[in-house]
Amino acid sequence: METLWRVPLIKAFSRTCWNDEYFLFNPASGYTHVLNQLSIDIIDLLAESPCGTRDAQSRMIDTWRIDADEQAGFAQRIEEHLHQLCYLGLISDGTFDDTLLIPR
Amino acid sequence: MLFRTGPFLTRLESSLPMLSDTLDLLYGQRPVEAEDQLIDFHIQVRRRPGLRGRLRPQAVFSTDMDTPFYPFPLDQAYPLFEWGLNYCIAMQSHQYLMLHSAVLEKNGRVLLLPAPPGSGKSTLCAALSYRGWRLLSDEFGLLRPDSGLIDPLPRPIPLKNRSIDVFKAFEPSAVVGPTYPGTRKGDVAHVHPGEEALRRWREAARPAWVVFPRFDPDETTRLHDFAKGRAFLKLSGNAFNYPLQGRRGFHAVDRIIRECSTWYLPFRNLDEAVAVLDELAARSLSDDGGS
Repeated sequence: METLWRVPLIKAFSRTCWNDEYFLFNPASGYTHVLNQLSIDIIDLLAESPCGTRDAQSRMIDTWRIDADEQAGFAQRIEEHLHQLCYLGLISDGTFDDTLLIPR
Repeated sequence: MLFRTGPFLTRLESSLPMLSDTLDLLYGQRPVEAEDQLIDFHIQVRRRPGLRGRLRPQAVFSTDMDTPFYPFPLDQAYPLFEWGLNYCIAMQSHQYLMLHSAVLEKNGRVLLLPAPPGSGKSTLCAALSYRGWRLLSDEFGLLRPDSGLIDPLPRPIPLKNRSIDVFKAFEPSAVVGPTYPGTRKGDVAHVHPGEEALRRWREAARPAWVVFPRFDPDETTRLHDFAKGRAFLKLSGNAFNYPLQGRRGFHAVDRIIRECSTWYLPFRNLDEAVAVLDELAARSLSDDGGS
């Protein structure tokens, strides 16, 4: 079964931006993360609608208008970012009921 | 003894003359408060009792039921009190976002000097406080997260090791307390915060400049632009209770970075650093048409 990536805490995040760097505060961890444009776009895409890895890759390729000869490498980067964002606790792979984490 | 330091009221119990003498010297005409007020910190600094205390005289700091430090040599009772008061503020004052920063004010605008130990922050802060800048705090930027104002916490400025003589040469008329040799932070002496700073403890002000200072005898003293994103990380990373504040803290730091100019200031001596910061303040005033 394919992983379903999503952003359960999107409404709780705070963010700001300077010079193409995004600063995202996660109240569940108390950490402020420095993210690049690609990571922010992935989070926004998953916040709009949860999806699997292939769907995320496809949508990001469209959004970023990646040339055909660069799509394979870009898709690999997307997958790596998904796992990294999940590791940081910013997105979820749906393996546990993370809705419990949403601050009230 | 009941006395006020900025927004905090402290009850200090101690019969150690070496502590009360230095308090009288460095807090000067501190406001003596009436007894019927809510007290923020109950502090005792006492001589260690028993045989060990007689063989090796020591001072013990305690607050309510907590004794957070090992005893200090008795003659270091005053620095023990100051570090203990820092501990009380850092552990209990979460109504504020507590920035680890020196804070001074000129023309109603606040200069933040966040910096790690060893960067010359306190020495520069003391120098500015004797050159027309009002000291709000050497250690704690007490930021009200909702209004963006910083409350004063005027207390003696601790100088360490070589900076003690550097500052005394810079301002021979300054009131400096006794030097305590061989403390856990080296030799320490405290500079009087200035009567104006003590008198104006109610006057909060809004940050205008964030300057990251660093003493470096080999560098030219001048201001360098400091990227806002880096400034955000350094300022939030320097706050004592940033994670605890949650989104409130994030937005408070974000607001400071948006509203302030952000700079890096290497400096090779105090005179040059003071001149550069005076010019920064004057430039902002003229940019505002002298308002």
